Amino acid sequence: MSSSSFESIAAIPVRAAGLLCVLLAAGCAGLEREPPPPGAAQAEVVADAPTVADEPVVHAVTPAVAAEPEVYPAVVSTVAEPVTDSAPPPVVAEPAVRPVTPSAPRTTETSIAKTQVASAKPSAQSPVTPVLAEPPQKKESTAPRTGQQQAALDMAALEKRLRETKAIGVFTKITLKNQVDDLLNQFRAFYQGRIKATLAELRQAYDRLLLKVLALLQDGDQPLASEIVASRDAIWGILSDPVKFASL
Amino acid sequence: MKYVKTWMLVSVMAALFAAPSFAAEDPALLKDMTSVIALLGLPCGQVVSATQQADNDHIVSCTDGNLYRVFVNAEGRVVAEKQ
Repeated sequence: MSSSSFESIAAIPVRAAGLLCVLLAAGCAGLEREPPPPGAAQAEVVADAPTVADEPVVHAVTPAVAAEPEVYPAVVSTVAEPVTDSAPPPVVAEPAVRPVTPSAPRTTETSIAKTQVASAKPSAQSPVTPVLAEPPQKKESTAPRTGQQQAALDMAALEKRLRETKAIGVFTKITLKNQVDDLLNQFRAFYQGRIKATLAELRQAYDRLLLKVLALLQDGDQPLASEIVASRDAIWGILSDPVKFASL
Repeated sequence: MKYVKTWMLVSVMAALFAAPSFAAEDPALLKDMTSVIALLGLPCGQVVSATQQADNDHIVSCTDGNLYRVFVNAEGRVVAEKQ
């Protein structure tokens, strides 16, 4: 009798420990299912807004950062703004477009504003919409100027890619450079009136040189060849304009 | 013994003088030379061998039998001279 009572008393702590474990497990499961309180949810969303806003930016930047870290603001502005110009679509060419740093905070503000709109109450949307309305107006005013900058900077990016491409050997690159320099000298002499060639003849020489470059690149570096084809008219636009050509 | 010493001397001399002729069959170099000669508008077909004479100076032979010296001159221009 006493031994059974002793055993029952000794079993109490064991039972209590088991019951405690069961209660803890039930409590943890309950925490996962339990929705967060409303106040904490909003605070978390607002606190996370910069990181959420940065996510699309980061994804867009990642391919370009590996190429050129200094063009991060350019890519940020490119991601937020709609493509209004007729420049080639590849991202590698576009990041070299804009060094405009003021666009980066504006873009970040736009992203944060969008996030706040998604998480805020309907009554709070009206003060937010003017923020969204501002950037498109600013974008339109800067589009023509940046279009010219895009063309100029695309040439620099194309030149760099052409120098670094593995589709062409070293001697071939030097030979192409010689021929490009010869063509530029022809243009220079044409604008100075030292030769009697016409612009149509220079265009033919330009097309021939471009065909040579494309023939060398089309098998080994097709993306670069495609970009050069897409930039063909833009490059001719610069060469055929005396003012733009003088700025080269 | 005399012949052994002679052959040893010949083999050593051959090893010393055979050093400059390397990379004669490098595919990338052959393709590069073919492209250069084509860009310069010279008849060649395809370069089958290229022997380096000096830095940026090669003697190349083509499938059509032409032999060219391809080098970079003092002005930095690539020149191909028919041999």
